[in-house]
Amino acid sequence: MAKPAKFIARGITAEGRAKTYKRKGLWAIKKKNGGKFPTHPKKVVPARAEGRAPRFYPADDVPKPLAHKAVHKPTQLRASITPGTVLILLAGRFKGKRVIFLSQLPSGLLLVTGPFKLNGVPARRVNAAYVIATSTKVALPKLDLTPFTDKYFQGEEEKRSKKGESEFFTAADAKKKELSQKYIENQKTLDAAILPALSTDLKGYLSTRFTLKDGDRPHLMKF
Amino acid sequence: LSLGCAALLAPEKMPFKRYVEIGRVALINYGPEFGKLVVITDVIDQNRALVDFPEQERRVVNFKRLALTDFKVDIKRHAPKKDLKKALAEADVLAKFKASSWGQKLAKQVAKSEMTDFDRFKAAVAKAKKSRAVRKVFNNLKKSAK
Repeated sequence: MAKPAKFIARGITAEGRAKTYKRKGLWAIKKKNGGKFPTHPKKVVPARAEGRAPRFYPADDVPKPLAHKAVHKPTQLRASITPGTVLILLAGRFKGKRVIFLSQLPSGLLLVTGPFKLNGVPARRVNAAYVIATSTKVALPKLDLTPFTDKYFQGEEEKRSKKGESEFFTAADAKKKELSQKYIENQKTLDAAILPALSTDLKGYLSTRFTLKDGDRPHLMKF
Repeated sequence: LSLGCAALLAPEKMPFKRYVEIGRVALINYGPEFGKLVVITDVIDQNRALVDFPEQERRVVNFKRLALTDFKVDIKRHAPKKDLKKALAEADVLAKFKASSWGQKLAKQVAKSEMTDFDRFKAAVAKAKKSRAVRKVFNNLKKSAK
């Protein structure tokens, strides 16, 4: 790629036309193409055969929807969140729980675990916005996080059958969702790998919830 | 000056023990420089002093921002940094201040404010353990006193 342009002020480049031409390497492109700029033949749209009327005329002028070309990138992680950091969850079912950060998933969400044995938080996805990163870090051993993908957490969609009147009233059909064996297995292996790396103090720390008490000033507290 | 006047102004009679004077070590107790020790090297007017300290720029500070300490060093007015450093090292002011109860209290405040969430947890656990032990002994004593 060519070197970027230098600006003296907004809209005023440091180099004039000749120097810019040189810097961008346009001479090299010309040289490669035998002295001229490469041109591409214009795309010819074949004209419709004579005497054929179009198959369809729209009744109203349908506005063309705008093209969605945005590429979603995963949320940029704060520098304070690194694998092994103890996080405090601020919202949801596990609010106040202290958990260990494992990695960031491609969706941008954070993969965390209690560990489950200590505080009941399973391997779970969590939004970085609803989390306080403490300065406490755990030296994590090498973990196999391959089973934990975004799809793993999304759960299987139940096939929707056409709803008839009877289906609204059969309560007996409502099954209690059983946790699949593989979730339990994966959690057990994950915890077995992490727990030995935790000191007794840390285990107690992760088992307790974070609460604000009288006299606490969160804006002055160092986490 | 009558003798009676001089007697009244004797140091033993004055309620003040720490005076603003050249060489007085003071602590800045307000503003962005809170907690810094400085030495008064000149008095500008009734409100302001010229202060200095090794590793710090010589500057003007209002007396309202200064809390005088018990320590004083022997320096001349507008003493250069070199002389100031020497005088402070000789009197060992920094170490003495840190050892004083004021210095210790300050250090405790700073340490408390820098506690992390994990430290706070450990402190709470230790506090509970200690009070349980005290409570146990107290209850035993109470029982045996009945």
